[in-house]
Amino acid sequence: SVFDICGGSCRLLSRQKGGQRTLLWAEGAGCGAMSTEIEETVKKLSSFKGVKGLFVINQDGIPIRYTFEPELVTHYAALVHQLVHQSRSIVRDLDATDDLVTLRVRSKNHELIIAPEKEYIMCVIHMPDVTYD
Amino acid sequence: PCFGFEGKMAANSLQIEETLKRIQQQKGVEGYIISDEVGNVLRTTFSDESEKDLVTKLSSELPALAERASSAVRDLDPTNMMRFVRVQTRKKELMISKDQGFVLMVVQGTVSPE
Repeated sequence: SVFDICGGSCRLLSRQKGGQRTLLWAEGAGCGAMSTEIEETVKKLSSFKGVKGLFVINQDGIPIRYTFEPELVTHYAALVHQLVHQSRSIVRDLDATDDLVTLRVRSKNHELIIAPEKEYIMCVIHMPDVTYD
Repeated sequence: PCFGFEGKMAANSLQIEETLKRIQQQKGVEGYIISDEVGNVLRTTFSDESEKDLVTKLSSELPALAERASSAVRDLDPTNMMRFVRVQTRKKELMISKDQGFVLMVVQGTVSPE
């Protein structure tokens, strides 16, 4: 996963505050090679036909990386953050040993593919070529 | 058999039965639950006593999730409409669809990793 790359081995990229480690790669700090890999992944995902946009939010629901207008991202981020929180607790409630891997919200116009990781959530807005009814 | 569907659905009851049968026969499908918007179970394939707890949990929690996803979609774009939600976990996949006051929840065992 994209985030395992920055799993804490590179101190330049993270800041320890209290008990929480925050990744700062969005600020372009630290190891250039690691940032490049993230940028490449984001670029690769964005280049897929049908990817309208993508964003990454942190544990607090703040968007730290995005490929479309910030005001719209903030709107998406807040909603996605709540959805992940609710889904995750349902999954854990059903089976304490299980965990949420992906959440997909298919709507008439597009599909949101939401992938939560340990500390971050990635969301891709996908417009499929085929329209179902 | 009477399963409490509203009159407007009655005309398509054969179609419904065939669709539900098709869903149930899909590879990996463990079962489905049909409820109303608040989670009252109307119909389910989980009839075993041991599965009662599962049915109660799913029917009480999934419609609320579907409603949240549905309102999120509308909030982002009032012209858009949610079709379904897929919750993929390590062990299972839950598919939830809401339409005309009914909620269909399908439980599928993990098919293949992505």
